[in-house]
Amino acid sequence: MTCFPLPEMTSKRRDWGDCSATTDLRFIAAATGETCEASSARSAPAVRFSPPRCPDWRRSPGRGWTRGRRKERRSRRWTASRRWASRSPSRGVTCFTVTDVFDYFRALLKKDEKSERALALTTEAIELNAANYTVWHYRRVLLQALQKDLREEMRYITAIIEDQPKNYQVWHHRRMVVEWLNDPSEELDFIAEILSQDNKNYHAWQHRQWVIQEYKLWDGELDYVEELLEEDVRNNSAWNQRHFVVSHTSGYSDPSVLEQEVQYTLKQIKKAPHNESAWNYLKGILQDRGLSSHPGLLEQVLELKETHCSPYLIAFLVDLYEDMLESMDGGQGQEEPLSKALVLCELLARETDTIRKEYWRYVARSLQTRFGSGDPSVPTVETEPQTTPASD
Amino acid sequence: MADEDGSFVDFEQIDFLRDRHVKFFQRCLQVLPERYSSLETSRLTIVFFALSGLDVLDALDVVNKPSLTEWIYSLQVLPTDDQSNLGRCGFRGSSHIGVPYSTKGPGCPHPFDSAHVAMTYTGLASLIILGDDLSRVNKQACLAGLKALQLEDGSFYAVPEGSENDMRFVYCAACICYMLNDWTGMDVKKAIDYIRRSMSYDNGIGQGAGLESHGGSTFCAIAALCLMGKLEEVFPKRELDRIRRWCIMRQQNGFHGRPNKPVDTCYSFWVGATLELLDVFRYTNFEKNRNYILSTQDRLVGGFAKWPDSHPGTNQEHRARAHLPHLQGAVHAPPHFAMPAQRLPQMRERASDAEPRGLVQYRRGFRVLEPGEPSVKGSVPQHGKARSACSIRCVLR
Repeated sequence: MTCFPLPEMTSKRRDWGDCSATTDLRFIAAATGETCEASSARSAPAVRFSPPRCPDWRRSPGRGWTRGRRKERRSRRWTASRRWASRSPSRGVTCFTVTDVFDYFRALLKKDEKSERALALTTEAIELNAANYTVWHYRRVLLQALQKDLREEMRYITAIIEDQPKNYQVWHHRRMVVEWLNDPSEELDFIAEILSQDNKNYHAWQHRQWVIQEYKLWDGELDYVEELLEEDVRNNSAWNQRHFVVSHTSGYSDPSVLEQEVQYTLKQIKKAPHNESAWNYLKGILQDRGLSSHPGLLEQVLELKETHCSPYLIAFLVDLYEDMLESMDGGQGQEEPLSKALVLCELLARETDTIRKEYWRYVARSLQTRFGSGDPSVPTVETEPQTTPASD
Repeated sequence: MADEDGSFVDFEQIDFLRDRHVKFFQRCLQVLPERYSSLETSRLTIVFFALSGLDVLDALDVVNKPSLTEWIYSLQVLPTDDQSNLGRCGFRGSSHIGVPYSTKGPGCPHPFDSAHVAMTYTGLASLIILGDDLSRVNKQACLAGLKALQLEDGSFYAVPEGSENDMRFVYCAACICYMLNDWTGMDVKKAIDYIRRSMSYDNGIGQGAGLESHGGSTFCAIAALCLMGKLEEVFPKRELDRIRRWCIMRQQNGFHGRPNKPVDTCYSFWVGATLELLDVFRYTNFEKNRNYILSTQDRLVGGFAKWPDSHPGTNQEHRARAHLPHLQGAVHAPPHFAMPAQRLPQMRERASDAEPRGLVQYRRGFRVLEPGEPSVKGSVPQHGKARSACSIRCVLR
């Protein structure tokens, strides 16, 4: 960052204050600008950024801004700097650069100035870099010191999040404003809007869970989850939310609730058998009570195996047989479930889940070691433990 | 489930372009495209990704070590004369606040200058990679700064002014305590409790209680426990087996971070390293993983991207690089820490009595690269950066 004579701070767009304050700030800005980066006499700073409007070093024939699965958005910083730079010097208006904005920001920060112009500057700084957590913190300090209208701030942060929904700072800022207002009334609708664009946005779900838990907004959430699962039964975030809601409301201890959830899940599995999320949910709600203890479950899954088989179903059966073996606790009759589990492990390894064949053989060996009797009539896993890496 | 249809055509011929990756990291240490300017406050993590990547590639000689060491020390937030800022000490991500350049104390008073937990972690790790003995680190100040960040529920803020709190910063905190060989910087019991409560119904681990299980947070949790030497104490075998299952199911060809999501190079590290810590990485399909990672390699500029035909970033580059040697099986090093093997003796000197499993198991001189943080958004680098590092590790066989 070089030190160059800074332009006048006043502009047609906003008044930065009287001359003396302007001069003062300019001086501080110059000073902090100079000490920001080491001079050549000291060690060079690592990792600098090329100035705006500099061509991307990555540009090459056939590859443009939008190459790849994600559309590369035009740099916001570039756009903002263009806007600043477009003012005509002949109108007596100055041109600001990104460096200017942040030099002034540093100056205000050092003075800990609490003013409207400082708040306005944070808006500009955020537009250039919404990931700068210091700017956000300073903005919050200013909002409180100047007693700004927080409803206005909610509108502001709503727009920012819509533009950059995968930024940690913006969601944290929203949470702070909601806490100050003590008003979550807009949250569920807003988050639903964000989720309609990306229904697995982790930040959105995290904020949603916080709002619901903090303000006890459980009503209607299960219906919302079911709507999402209707749209996409493979939405793992929605399954997770389902577990979140049920476990914090009715809980799973009530047998009728548990059975209802089991049947709901089996129904979703019939719609889309190759859905890890549904199988994970089924296993998740039953595993601590014992997969083999749930009445009628084994029979239902064996029936499903005929028409809606999947690697997840077979893995579920392996786990169910393992649970059965554990509950037998070394007693009689272990050979049959063990044998079935071993056969299923080999089926997974050979046919249905070959990418994990080494793992399934490892599982089979573990079962054999734990529950095997050494009886030669019981099928064993023939494959030796791998000493070289697995490959297909 | 697994992609068996051979949609990646003949990847046997793809070679690992070591020199391109070295150049990529060198460029990252110099100037990044303006498009990455959101990383301004976390430049130190970029340095870490680049340094550890170069170290894995045995190319640290391209770096001006003394100069970089000085720069990193200039980012240390030191106590002021009256020691009133102890709770804000550690390392900054960059000079973005405008504090006057200085590599020694006392600290310069500034109303808004404070450390960031991820920068303290990557700063210390970078110094170690550069061969520094940390003698100029104010250890007590760092630990005081860390203590100030822990919440009642056991998780950590990133900065004392407040921020989001989640598993990423629990991991950063564990790394800091480990490197400084002093666990007084955190309430270990509360942190463990936070980790336990973050385990999901599906046996993965989320960023916090009730949140969706995720490859990044699963790594952070398991690695933190390994660094503490408490993995088997916290999770009995049955639970570890369940976590192993969740993790191993993430492989599609490469790995994804959550069920029914697309694969992404960085998860070859996050999930791959977790599997290694859980001692079952050898049961994954190395070939498919490596082929996927190589398909994301940028042959022109070096680096790895999250997907084929995307822009590379140092996160992916780092994670790819970190992961490839594991696939080759040629080297071993604690994947929870991703430190180069030759750094291990320094680390071992700092090792606590309960030696983390990773160090005991992995002695074969292999380099592992530090993951940094997961899911990069916000104040820590985006996936774009760490992926490359992770991918390379997977390829070097």
